[in-house]
Amino acid sequence: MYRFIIIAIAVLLPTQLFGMHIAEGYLPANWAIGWAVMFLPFLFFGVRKIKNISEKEPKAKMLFAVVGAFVFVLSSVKLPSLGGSSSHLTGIALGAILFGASSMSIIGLIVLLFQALLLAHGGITTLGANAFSMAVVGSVVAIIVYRTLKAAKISSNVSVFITAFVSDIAIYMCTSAQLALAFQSSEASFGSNFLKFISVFAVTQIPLAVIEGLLTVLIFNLIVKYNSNEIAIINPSLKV
Amino acid sequence: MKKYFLVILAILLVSLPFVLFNVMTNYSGTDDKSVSVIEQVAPDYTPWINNMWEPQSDFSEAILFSLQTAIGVFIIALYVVYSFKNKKYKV
Repeated sequence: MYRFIIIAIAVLLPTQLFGMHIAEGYLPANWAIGWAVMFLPFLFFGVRKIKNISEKEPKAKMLFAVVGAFVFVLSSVKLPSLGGSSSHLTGIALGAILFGASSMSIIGLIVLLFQALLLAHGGITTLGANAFSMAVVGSVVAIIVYRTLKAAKISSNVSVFITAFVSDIAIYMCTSAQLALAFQSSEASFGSNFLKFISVFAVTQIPLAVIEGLLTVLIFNLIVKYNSNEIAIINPSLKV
Repeated sequence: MKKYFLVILAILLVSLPFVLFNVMTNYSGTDDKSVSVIEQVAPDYTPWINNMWEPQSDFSEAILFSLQTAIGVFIIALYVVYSFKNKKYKV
């Protein structure tokens, strides 16, 4: 019965949507190219990692599809929040915990490309910057936080929740930093820009990050419950 | 089972006010607000490129986002049904 509840939640939540990525053309060309170049190595390592994992455990493809689907669903759901803004969840932490940070680069790219091409959310020129913040920073922060919490013997549910929460916030902090860097000038320092952008992104995101934490715990436990053997092969350090 | 039900209930309780609020209001997205901030900090900046294609109406945009959601939900649903069917849970 609860699988239908999960599906109902996912279907009921989407409504009319607005984007949360850096919009097309709103990153100067030199910065857009720079961020794309910075993202490429992570994409390369991510594709290679997925290939290696799939060869080690063929059932990993199904789990990877589920992780990708999770990002697809969460990043399509818009929720209103504080400050008169609405924003999206991200879903990156789940895949980062299960497969490792680099593996999320391809999923992040697919989701962002889908939204840029079909929905005019984000953009092609800002793809590198958006992918870097979402799939790289979000994943790396998730891994660092999760491993730190597990080393401190924090319970799995609490660790996953905090990881997803912090990862979500980190993505938007990175986006704020990217914009603050690109638009700094003699009149607008990085610091003042960052505070202005973060007041738009991160504050809005805080309650949404709580929801993302809960959803991530739910799906993580489902996957661990039914695929613990596959996860032990895919990511032995996870110790589920 | 009860644990999952409680988590789902928590998600619904936390998200329901936002959904209802969304229906009653017309909040703008954070990228719209970030564009406003860009116009404040760099008033001379103009976008150097536009989206190649945009949905022609709010309705078509919502349909396409729903398509994204539907793709994801379909895959998750397949996984859930497959997992239940194979009964791989630990007793």
